[in-house]
Amino acid sequence: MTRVFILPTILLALLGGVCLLLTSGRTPRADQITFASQADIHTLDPQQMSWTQDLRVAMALWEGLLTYHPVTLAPAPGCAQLPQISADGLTYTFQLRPHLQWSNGEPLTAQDFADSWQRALDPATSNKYVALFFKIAGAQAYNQACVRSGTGPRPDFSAVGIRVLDPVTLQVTLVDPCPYFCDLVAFPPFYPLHLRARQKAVAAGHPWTHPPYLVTNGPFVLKEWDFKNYLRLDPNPYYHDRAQVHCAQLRLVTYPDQENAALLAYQSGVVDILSWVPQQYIGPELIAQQRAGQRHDIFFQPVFGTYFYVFNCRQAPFNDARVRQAFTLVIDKRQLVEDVLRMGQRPLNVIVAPDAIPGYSSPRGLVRDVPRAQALLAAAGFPEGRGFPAVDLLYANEGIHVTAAQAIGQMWERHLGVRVVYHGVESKQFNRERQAHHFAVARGGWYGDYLDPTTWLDLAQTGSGQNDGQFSDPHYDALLAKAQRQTVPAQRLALLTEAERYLLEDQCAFMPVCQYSDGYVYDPARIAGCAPNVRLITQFKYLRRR
Amino acid sequence: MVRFVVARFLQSLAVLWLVYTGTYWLLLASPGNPFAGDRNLPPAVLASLEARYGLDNPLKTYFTYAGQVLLHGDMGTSISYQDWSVGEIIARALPVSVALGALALIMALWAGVAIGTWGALRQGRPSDMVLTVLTLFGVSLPTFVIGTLLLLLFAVVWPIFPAGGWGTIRQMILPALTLALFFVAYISRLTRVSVLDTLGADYVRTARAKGLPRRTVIGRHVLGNAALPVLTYLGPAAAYALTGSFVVEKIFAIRGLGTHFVNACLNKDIPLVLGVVLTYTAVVVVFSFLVDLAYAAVDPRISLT
Repeated sequence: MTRVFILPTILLALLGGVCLLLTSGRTPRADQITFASQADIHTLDPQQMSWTQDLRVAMALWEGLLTYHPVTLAPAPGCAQLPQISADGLTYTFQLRPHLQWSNGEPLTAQDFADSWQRALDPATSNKYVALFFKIAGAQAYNQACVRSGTGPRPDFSAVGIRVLDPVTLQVTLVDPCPYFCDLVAFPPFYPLHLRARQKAVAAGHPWTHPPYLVTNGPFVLKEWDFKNYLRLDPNPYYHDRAQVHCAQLRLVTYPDQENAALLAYQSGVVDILSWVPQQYIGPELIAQQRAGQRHDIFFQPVFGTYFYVFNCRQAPFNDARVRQAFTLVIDKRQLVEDVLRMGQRPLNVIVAPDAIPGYSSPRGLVRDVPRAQALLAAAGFPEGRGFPAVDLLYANEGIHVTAAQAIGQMWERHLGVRVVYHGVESKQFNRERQAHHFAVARGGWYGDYLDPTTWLDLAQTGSGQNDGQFSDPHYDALLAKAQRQTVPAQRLALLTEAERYLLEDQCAFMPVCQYSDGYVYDPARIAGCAPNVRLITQFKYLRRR
Repeated sequence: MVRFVVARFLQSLAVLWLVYTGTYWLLLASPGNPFAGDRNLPPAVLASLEARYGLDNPLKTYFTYAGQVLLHGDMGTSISYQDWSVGEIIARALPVSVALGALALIMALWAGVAIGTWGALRQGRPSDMVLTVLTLFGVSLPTFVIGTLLLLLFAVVWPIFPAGGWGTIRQMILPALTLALFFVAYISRLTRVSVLDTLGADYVRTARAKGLPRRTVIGRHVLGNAALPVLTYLGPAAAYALTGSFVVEKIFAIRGLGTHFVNACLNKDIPLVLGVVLTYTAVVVVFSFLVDLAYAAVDPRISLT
């Protein structure tokens, strides 16, 4: 009856139909495993990645000289056997497995590693982890020479301590002994890249990290990458340990900020594994169900990351260690964890994740003591908080950080009599303000990159790029330097314990809150090879359906 | 006609240029660094990233980017998703939003016109009042409430539709309905008022006096004219519906263009924001042009000169 509307309807139906056809995905295979992440993939260039989900995919697509033991996470043979280390701890000789191949069947040699590491050191690569390569002799000088030469010819790489002795032998010389160097070479920025395939794709104007241009050497190869939708990974037929890869097909999907949608997808069987335990709205309920024994598919545990607050140690009155101690001593972390964070996290008085690093024992840290805090503040010239300037408390306006900051601020106001200015900003702005030191106290947090206390303790080193609190103390720097020169592992770790004790008890540069907890959601009756570990490293290679 | 088309084309270019300029400089002036993450980047790395995206020389980038888009249709590479060009991202996200929006609009158009006409013909009766109240609800209730309610009712309590995702018609029904409800309410109100206006017109009385059946009077004479405001509204409504709704896409886990509107801004992903804004502007411009053409076709009093 309304002819006027028939034409627009036909046009809309045609348009919609064509678009639906263009975008509808393929039906997943029955024997595949679907693994969900809570954030989208940002890049598949291992030398540019820094996000957990990116690093996780890299571990499926590539393999470094070494890898992680599936249970202990100790360095294990990967492309190479465990290296021979010289007596002074400075020279590492890696013997590659014979007949290694790339996913296109071409041979993989020690030269590929050397060339890739050279690219990793080039500032044009924008490698966010470039500082990890500076453990190698001459690497930092090479990087700086590249910065000076700008887009001009690259400086001489032969001065860098990376030698290809023959196609299967790589020798690396370090600046100082680095007991965790084996851990580093298992980390994605140290993976080999097929640079010839990359150059060929780039020259032809193709995106080199997309299939079919991406050539890798790990247990899986990238077959499909549908932006913000899914990645399909198939076993790599040329992988040296192909017989151990039991998963016929891996489908990696993402649910960015969609915890409820992800949980629904898991419960309806669309997703096999959630690589995180939803923590926002339904989280506390899930944890309660798990503790009551009603759910056996939630694997939630303390992980290799800690939540803390950073003091601006250069700004008065927080340049006085007594003030920092007073602010730390009044915090009731148990109450914070139970009433605010509500996910059963472990309250902490230290910043290095405890019980995670073999041989390392954490110091005690500052234990809550309100009268002592009040006495310290009075000794610093602010009895009952009188005359204390308003405390600029900086945090990101997202999720649980807002309520945590408010609870902490209230504890200061109640026990110390100070006034707190709650400075919650959007996350990009938060990072910028914290890096510019525009705060008195700011939210902080850190996930360790390698199995060594220095992954946290270096944060407070003078001149560290991550030292937002501008803490600088010669005694602390000397302790770290002494530990770096110490070659006996037990003595080195004892020195690092003393450094952490000094940093947190005497100097109180940070106010620890808790250890992060996370894990997986999956049904162990259906999926095997997915046991969570403290570093939440997913070894897709061992994943299989029961 | 040709003059009209050429004039509109030039106008559209000016609109696009203005929108581009405003967006570009607003983005640069907004706080936050696109590369700022939890970890501070080494200065050399930050410098190389800024150089890669032209943030080291914003004025030069302002012109080179515009030239790149105009000459090659190249909208650059996303900052947050550096392996993807903005063109590819939009090419994958836009069809999803278009398919969803098209279904929602079809639902909204027919349901809205039917409800509006029905209400107008029963003006003042209880059924009309009930419909008026219902449409008021439809206009006022935010999408996130409707979406969540539908999801709860038809995916959880009575699971006849999937909870989310994309690829099948069944997965489209709930999100399209959510998106459509606002338009249904709005179109029905427009139609009701418009039909009431037209019912009193002389030519309608004449048509009735001629003894034409009621059905023909309403269908041909009343709705033919009452359709004009609805058609006008269809232009901006289509531009809005087809480019994706952030809320609907978020609730139903759909990877359309809507999510990029908000996420790209939060990430300060300058190339992606520019690409999305320019795409949206282009769609609005094209649809308002189509509406003008449709006007001329429907109403003989309007001529395109």
